[in-house]
Amino acid sequence: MFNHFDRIREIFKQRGLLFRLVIKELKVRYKYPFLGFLWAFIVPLSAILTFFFIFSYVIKVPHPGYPFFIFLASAVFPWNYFGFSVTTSTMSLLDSGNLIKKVYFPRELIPISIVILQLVLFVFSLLLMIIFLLLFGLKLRPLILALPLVILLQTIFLCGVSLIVSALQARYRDVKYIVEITLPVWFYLTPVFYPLELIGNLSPLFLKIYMLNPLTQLITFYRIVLIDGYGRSLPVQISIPGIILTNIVICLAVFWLGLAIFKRQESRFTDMI
Amino acid sequence: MSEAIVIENLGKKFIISHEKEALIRHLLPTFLSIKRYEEFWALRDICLNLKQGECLGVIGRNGAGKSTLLNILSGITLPTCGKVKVKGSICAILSLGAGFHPELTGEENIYLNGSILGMGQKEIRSKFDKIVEFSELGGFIDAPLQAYSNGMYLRLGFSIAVHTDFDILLIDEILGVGDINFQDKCMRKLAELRSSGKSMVIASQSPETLQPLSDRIAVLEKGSIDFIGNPQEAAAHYRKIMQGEVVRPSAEHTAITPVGGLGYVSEYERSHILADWHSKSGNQQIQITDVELSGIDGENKNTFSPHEDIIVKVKFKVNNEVANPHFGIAIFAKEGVYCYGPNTKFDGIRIEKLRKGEGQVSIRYLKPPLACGQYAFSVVAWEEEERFAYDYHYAYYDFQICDHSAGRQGLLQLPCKWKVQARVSEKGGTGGEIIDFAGYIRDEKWLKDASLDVLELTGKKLTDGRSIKNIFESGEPLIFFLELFAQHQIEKPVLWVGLFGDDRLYFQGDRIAIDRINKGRSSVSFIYPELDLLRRRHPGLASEGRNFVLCFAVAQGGKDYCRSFAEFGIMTDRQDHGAVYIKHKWQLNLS
Repeated sequence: MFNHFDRIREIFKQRGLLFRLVIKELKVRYKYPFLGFLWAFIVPLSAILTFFFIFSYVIKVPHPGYPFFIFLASAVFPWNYFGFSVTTSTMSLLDSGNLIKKVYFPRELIPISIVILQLVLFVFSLLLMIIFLLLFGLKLRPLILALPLVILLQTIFLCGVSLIVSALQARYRDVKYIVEITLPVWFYLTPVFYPLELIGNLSPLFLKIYMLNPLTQLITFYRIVLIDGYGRSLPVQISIPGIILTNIVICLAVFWLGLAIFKRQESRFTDMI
Repeated sequence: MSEAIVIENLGKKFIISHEKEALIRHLLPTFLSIKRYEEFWALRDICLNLKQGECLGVIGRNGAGKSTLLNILSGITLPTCGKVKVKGSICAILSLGAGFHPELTGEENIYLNGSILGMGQKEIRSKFDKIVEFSELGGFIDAPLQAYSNGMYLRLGFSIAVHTDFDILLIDEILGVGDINFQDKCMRKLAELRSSGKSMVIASQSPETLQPLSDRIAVLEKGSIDFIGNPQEAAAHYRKIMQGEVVRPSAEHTAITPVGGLGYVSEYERSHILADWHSKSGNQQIQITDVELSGIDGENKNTFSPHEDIIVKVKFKVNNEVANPHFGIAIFAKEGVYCYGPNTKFDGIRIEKLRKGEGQVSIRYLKPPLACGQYAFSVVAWEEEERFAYDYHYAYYDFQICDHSAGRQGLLQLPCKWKVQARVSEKGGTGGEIIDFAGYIRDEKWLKDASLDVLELTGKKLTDGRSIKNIFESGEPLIFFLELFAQHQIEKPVLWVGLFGDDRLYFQGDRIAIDRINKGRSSVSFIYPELDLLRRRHPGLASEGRNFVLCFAVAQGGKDYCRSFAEFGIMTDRQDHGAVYIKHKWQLNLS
């Protein structure tokens, strides 16, 4: 059980390679397109604008006490960080079959490098987010210093998920389809474009179950940290320290599970890729 | 000296699923479909040790388990059973430039590939200049890899790999790729590393490559070590496995003689064949009574078009009952070259007994890839072990392929294709001037790259469509890929590819006349979709592995713009004698 620490140490030792893999992927992706790096922001922005149009003009979603645009952006960026990490890491091992079969290095680095790449893009989009906050006249509070902790939690969670899906996909090939089905459902079960109080209005029990979704927890943290006044609008049943604790447990458990599953499958997938 | 690697009872099993079922079966969920699985032991009971500073060669044919062994040593795959102990850090060069990305520059790829091979960022920075210098890339280091020629790509890959810090170097087959200069450079570097005390394990199919580098050679055959020991003995053992024991005639037979239209022909073979030309021998227990040549329409004739099926019908009389005879029908070229000789025994047809009476054997050669010229069939009825012939009509039945008055140009006409990024002037390459192959087998041009400044050869490789290699299985596709760089446009050039033996026997020449070679970069692929050559058994040939040569030339108005060559070898399990495998069918009608 605890031998995963050695593995983590080995991965950490190879951070130079991790760094190179991320740089490579960034360059390969954004060197040639005319708009380059900007695409990393145009994609989420277009989603934000679409939601903004639909849910403030077509279907009116209540948003007391804070600008709706900020409300959307504070969830779409973390959601994209999650969504792109999972979808691209699913195929990552199969796509680098050539490398895996020819050189030995900790294979965990392949899915993890994809998460780190998305992390880089996410950090940049959070800078954009802060500009939005200032544009909308919201105050930046000292609480914003907790932002890196939330990012760290999400990154640990994503590394776990990526390890799981990439290793299982290399072995079973069905995983890709499961991921394709799960992500949209998961999206609707996460309060990206509707406020939590709508769930709270349904039933307190349902809200409790609903709050077990680690992405709901993470997005709630992002909003509390970023949006002045958001914390006060939350349904009263929600206990913040409680979900922080659950989230930490879930993220670490998923990461641990990821390492375990990856290790279990690793011996098999080099023969199968 | 302590041990660098200790391997005990190592085994590796692969599971192969048989997928012969219909498509619909494949689309069913796995748990519903019935698939048969078979176990395959790629390696079994391997025990080996490598001392520090020792260089071990691993030789074996395709599929013998060489790569699996190196994969296990490098940690890429895990063994099914057994133990592997490695002392020291390993650098495995299993393919050059693994993880290279074509859109990144040489510099970026050095950092990427170096990191993949386990170098730290500081280490790469400090070795960067050395890596670039060794790879001879110069200014190209800032260009994206897409712009590199194959040679540059390989040099860069090799250069990075050998600059990593390691105690044990594992090399798989990479010494067989790239041009001669590159191979020389690799060999020199390996020799240098070896003398500096690094341990090495090198896998290859060619004993010539391994012998000078190895302290010991292990011969792998079907996943087990068949022999391990002194390089000379191991190489001899390997050759024995590859082709059964071949009796090597003495040096006086190794002379070669220039023969019109065919370049140089081995004098041993030629004199042997021509001495018996049109002769009969045998003890007449079986007597060949009549031999007829015909096309598929059944009409007797002895002039055939190129690639036309040829049927040889042999009637015989059995005078005394014989057991286990076999029949052979071979083709010789009039110049004294053995083209192809199948027999019923090699083809697995058993004739247990022939009683007194009459019978008939016929063979149909399907689309024989023989060039225009004069030939003769030998027909023979052999005793079981070929100790004597019952009846042997040696090169007795003349035939010709097309009108040979134009003179012979090569021995064969294997199907081939060109892929050129230009319009073809006249289809089939009948236009343009003839490039005289004879010019290329003179010593000053043989096996030499040369080009005028106007047209430069920037890369060349042999592939089977998937990977670069220079040992081909008989019947595999072979693609000769060349990259050219033209300073200015060249009008109406002729491209030519000649296939030679390394004794300069001219097998085949193909040319194509194109409208122009545009300024800048262009590429040419010359493809044999099925290279049905047989392994050459000519005595006295220097190298056992690569004894075919492809020559390439671009010419115009009697002037060479550029010429080049590539060497390759043929491997096959076919026992049939001769130069080329010709598909054929036997038909027996026995008494």
